[in-house]
Amino acid sequence: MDLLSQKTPLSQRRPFISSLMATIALLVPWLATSVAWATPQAAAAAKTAPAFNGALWTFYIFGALTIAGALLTITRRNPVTAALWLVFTLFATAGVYLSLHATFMAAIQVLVYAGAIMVLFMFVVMMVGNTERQEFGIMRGLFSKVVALGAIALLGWRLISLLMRQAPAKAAMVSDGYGSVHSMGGVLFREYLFPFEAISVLLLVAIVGAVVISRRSTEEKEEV
Amino acid sequence: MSFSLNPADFVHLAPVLFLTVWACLVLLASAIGGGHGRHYGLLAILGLILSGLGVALSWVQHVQPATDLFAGMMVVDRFALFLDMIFIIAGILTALVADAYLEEHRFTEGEFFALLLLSISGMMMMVHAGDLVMFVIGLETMSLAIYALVASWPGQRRSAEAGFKYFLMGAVASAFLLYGIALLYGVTGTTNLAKLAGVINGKAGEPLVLVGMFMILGAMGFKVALVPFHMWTPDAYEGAPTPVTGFMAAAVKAAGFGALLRLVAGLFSADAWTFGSTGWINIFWVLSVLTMTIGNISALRQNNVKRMLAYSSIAHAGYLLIGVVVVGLDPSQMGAVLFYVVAYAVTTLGAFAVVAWIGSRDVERTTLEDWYGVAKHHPAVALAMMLFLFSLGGLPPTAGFFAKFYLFKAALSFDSPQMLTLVLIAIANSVVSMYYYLRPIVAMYFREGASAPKPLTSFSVYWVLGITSALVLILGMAPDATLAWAAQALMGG
Repeated sequence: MDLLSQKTPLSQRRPFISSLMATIALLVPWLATSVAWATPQAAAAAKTAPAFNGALWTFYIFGALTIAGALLTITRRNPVTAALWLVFTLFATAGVYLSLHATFMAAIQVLVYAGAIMVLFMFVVMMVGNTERQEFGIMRGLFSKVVALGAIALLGWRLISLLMRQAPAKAAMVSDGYGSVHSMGGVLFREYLFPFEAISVLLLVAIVGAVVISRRSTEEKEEV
Repeated sequence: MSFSLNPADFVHLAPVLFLTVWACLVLLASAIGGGHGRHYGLLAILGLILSGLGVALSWVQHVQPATDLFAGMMVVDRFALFLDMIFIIAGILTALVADAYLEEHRFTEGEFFALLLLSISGMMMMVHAGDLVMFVIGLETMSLAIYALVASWPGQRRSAEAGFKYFLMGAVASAFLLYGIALLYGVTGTTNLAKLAGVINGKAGEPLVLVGMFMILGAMGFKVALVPFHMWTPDAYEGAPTPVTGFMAAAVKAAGFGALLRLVAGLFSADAWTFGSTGWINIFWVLSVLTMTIGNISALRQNNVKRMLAYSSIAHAGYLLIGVVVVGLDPSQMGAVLFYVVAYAVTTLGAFAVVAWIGSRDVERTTLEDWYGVAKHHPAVALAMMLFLFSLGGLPPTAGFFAKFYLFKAALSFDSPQMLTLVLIAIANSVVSMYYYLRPIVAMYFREGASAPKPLTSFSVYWVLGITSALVLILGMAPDATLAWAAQALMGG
């Protein structure tokens, strides 16, 4: 198993279009917010705001890292490399959580997603092994790519024109101690206690479903 | 903020909780009793009947207005109870078909029925949800169970492929749903439907709410297979075991539309979100036209009956979307929409039961050639299928006729040119659709079959065919009682 030793050439032409589309899809909301600043109300608000907002800049930096990591994840052709970039993305998301004062969520994000879930990911990638890659040409599925690009452009244009007309409102304010273990626990076991219990049904379904699907493959082997 | 598991609230949710526990019982029974030929379907049906009795009891004893449970997490109103009943009836009929079908095709039975019951309790959670968090949990419980059921066919690659496709597309749709909910939460600071509706009513034109709204509605459009999001439907419906296909077309579609109706009539009902260039009603108008037209045109070319019925289910989602638009204009017209849901669910369950009936082990017999001469060997089943196809096409004296009649009548009651256009397009579509509904009938009655089919012989399938044909005829000739019930099933009432 020499998955890690496979060199992926830097100049990949084939995933070019899909990465371009993904870039546009991810940049549209970002562009849209920057356009929103250009409205008179937003400009007035920006004048009264402090010149340097550390929390905001932390958010932008981690947000940019997340987007970059996500792009690298979906454009890598080696599954192990892609998975490692996904770890990077999940860490960057934890940073976004931190900048939003959700400290407990950030810790859980690192522990559960970047830790446990990613181990599972790698495990599955190793187990499935180096599957044959399907070669895609640029021309392949060109029609659907054009349609998808058109749809993204249309939606992006709609979004931008919407935001030009009206800048987004301030998000709802959070209470003191938001995001701490204490407040998370309070919300989870009081307000959201019933959904918390209902999740167990969802987990049961996932377990039974996984058993149903995976048992089939062992039975096939027995029959063969 | 208080401790929110009020013990009295559990009584109202007894049907849902009972069904979940019963699913675990079925699992336990199959763990003790072994895999094949044990008729766990009958055990599942017993559970569904008991749960159905509970739903009927709470329908009778229901006092208006709606009851909020667990600090607004769940709502019990007649709208949700009516849909519960549809899910349970669809579940009973599916379990009856599956009981014979699974044995013939060598499924492991216990888990199948446990997943069926769990998916129904997910649907019930979804339509009873008074909070977006509960809504997502219900939706995911339903969807995960259905993905597994679609892929549960032993040794069939197409079934695995269908399940995988459905799962991947469904996961993307769920991501959109969650992102939309996150945006709404970000603006309002709440996920409770009633509180959300109150807050966003005062924020007309707020871009983040608009984006969130369309993300949520788009995700629901995926679940009910509206046209830009319908690509998964034919493959998933064709690859799935046929009883599951019938269940998806009847119950999952009913659940999706139930949730969609609750969202548009309960959450985005203010004029600012409904009308105008950024309102959902214009978009649904266009989607309705696209969905029925593209669904019908694609169905015209199908030689595979199962796939044809899959496209037909897309077309019917288009007709039902007229109902969503109608409810957006006037919530008191809910009855006509729910009647359509019932009529379509019963009919499509019957039609897929015939598709399940005709195949035998490793041979599915779903192409039109396979259906040649069925009427000669099995006249009663051919007659039932003809009834179902007439009902799907909307011919009297079947359920489909009155379903379309009441829906179009409700749509025309607004006296607006847009609704008139929509109804005219729908009628043109119904006429076109008769062409492909007639093709299996021609194949069954007017063609000579090369070999006699060897269908399932179990009585449970004949029971289903009998029950569904009777219901199709009853709804088609005496729709008053059901229509009266449907008219009582108002949201929050």
